[in-house]
Amino acid sequence: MPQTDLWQKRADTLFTEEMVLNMGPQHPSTHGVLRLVLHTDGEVIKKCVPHLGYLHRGMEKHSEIKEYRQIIPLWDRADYLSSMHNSYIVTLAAESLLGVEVPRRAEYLRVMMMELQRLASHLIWFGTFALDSGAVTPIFYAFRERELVLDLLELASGARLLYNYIRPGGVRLDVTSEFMRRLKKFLVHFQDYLDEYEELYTGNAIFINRARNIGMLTAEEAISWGASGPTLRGSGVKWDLRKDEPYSAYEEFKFPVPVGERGDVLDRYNVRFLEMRAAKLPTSIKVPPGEVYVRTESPRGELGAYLVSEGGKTPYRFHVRAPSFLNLSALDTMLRGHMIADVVLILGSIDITVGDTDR
Amino acid sequence: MIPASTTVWEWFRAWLMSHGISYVWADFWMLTVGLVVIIVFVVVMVLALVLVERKVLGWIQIRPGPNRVGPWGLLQTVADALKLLFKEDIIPMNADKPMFVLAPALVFVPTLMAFVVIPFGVGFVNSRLHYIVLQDLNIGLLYLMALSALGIIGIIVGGWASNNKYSLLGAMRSVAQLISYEVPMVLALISVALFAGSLSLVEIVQAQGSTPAIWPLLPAFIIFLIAGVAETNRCPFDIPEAESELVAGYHTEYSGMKFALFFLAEYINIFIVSALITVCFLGGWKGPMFLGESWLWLTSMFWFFAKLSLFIFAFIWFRGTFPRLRVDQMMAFAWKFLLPLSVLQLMVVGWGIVYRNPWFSANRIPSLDVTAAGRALGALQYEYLPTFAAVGQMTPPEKMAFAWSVVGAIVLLLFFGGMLWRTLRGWHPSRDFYRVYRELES
Repeated sequence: MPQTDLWQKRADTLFTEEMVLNMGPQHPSTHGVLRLVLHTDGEVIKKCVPHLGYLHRGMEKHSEIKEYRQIIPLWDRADYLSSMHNSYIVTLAAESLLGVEVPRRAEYLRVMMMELQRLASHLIWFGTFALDSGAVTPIFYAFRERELVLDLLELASGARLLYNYIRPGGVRLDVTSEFMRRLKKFLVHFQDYLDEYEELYTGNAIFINRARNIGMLTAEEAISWGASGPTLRGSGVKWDLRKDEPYSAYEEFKFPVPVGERGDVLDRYNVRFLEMRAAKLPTSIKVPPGEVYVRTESPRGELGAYLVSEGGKTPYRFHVRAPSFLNLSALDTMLRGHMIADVVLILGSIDITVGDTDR
Repeated sequence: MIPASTTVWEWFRAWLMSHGISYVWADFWMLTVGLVVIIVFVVVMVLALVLVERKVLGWIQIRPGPNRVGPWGLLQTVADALKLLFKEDIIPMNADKPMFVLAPALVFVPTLMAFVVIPFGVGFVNSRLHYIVLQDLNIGLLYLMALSALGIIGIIVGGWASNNKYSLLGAMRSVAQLISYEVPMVLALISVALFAGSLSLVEIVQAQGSTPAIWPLLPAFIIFLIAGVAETNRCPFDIPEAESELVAGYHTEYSGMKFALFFLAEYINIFIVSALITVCFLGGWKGPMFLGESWLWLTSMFWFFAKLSLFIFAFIWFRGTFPRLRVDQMMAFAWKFLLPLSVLQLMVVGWGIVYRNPWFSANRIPSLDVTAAGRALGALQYEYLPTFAAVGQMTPPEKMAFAWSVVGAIVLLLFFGGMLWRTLRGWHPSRDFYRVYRELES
């Protein structure tokens, strides 16, 4: 990064004063109520300290006094952009201890819903990422298609954002033939919509020049920071739990796992975009004592749940490994030496949800 | 001796004096009326411009845009302006109060002053040609450049006085950007001045006879367009007020009428830059005068505003499609690309002038005289579209310029005509989507 070196050199040789810029919690592009304390030298970032907790709702502690069936809708609200995955992780933890055999059809439905959810989440990411880079139009296009996905999810579960659809032992309702008809139609046309996005945004020289070579995260750094999902794959690590540790019915499906090369913002952008391209598819309980760690691949990365049960209606301890939180911790590494304008792009490229980081 | 032409304001003064008003008072009334006309025009124009921008952006972004206030949402911006007028005027506690109050005026007043020299058209009064311009300054271009440099002071004063880090960063970025882009912009305009042989905007328009300056000075036009977008802080150069980075840049702390002044200044600047491009490169008010002599004032203003609105549309279009540049990329682009290019253009024009290459001198070949007045006044041509009969008398470079004009006109016609046609028959990038959507809904 010669440009960054130049700025660094300039900063080293001149006498300059450090400015502390408080970005957030009320800021247009920190994706919710995230607060970044930026130590800057002019426009160059020397240090970045993310401050969390503005959306802390004590979900893990709350889980300990709620019954399992009540926990599912609660965790829907953790990462509100991928609530299917959140309800699945609770369900999976409980099912692992219960030893429940889930009907195959229910597993297929789960996979289908989770993949639709991934699409909805990635579409939001695409729109907001473009918005962060100063392009105001793509978000309207992305939301147009997201509406279709939400319509489908509404048809299946009755809700548009927080579904409470995946339950221990299966799913809440079977899908109708109407759902399948609309899903097929949507998938036929979705590729065309993606072409439209690419025409509008991906090939833009300004965007490519801005996203290339910023926010670099090497594979080693990504692994040591515990990054996962597209953030990790963007750095060239081919690690996708759906492939490498298949859960639900994923082992029966074939799908590409796009990986980046350099680990910059552009790579993470491309990984997410290609993931969208891959969208071609096909009551109260008592959990026995024990402890289990289960993990799934959410749109943001590895979503894990650690469940300790003492055999009651409620968990003894329920901890969630939030992908946004761990991806966010790598932010400082990615940001140093970059400029304030890059902050929002790099932050956008790891696609955090404050509901997920704070829980 | 009566000059061949004058401005409508001079005519107004003469009219007042003929009614027994002394020269000093006639001058005073002339300026007062001119000022009032400018302010009313500016306010109406900005309200319309903002509405057009929101409508066009809505069209680009597959949404209807404002459509609630008044018929088709026409009164939306009026409502917005009234809201801003009645807003509480907040001055932050730690702000530098006098400077904070002064800054919006410092930004706003120069933009108003620019209207003094912009020629909107020509008309006949008592069969004498009158330019519709407040003052035909013989240093018009220099005056405009000086004004655009003045506005920067207001921006940095506002950013500093706000005592807010975002404002300060925005102001610093803004100053860096405006100063950087001023240089290639001025160099591009020097090319135009050399081409026309004058700094007066009226002279520049009149110098563009059968060929608008855009063809011989194409690089200068591109430089000026890019620098003009940067000068107005518009996307993709909206770095000083980058919403996703600096909240609102230098006017983060401003609200109410003070904010409205910054806002007005931005949109007036868009208008001024578009007008400058029209005047310097597209032959200003010139075009086929299809309504005859007595309606010359209307047809000339029609052509001026038609050309101007092309660029205003382009500005909105840029905003709808481009992401934002980064500060260092923006600076590198200005100094490493635009500046050398504009210097090169200047050298080429200078060479053309010195060696009397007709490609680079103002075009004086006979052109189509539609109006009788045009024939009467001989030297003045209102049209830059020459007849094909005139092609025979052209020198080879003039033929080339003519060919370029024809090709350019055809391309522009096809492009905008096609867009209009598609719009009229209901074509939209998302039309297929809505069909599918309806199917899915059914």
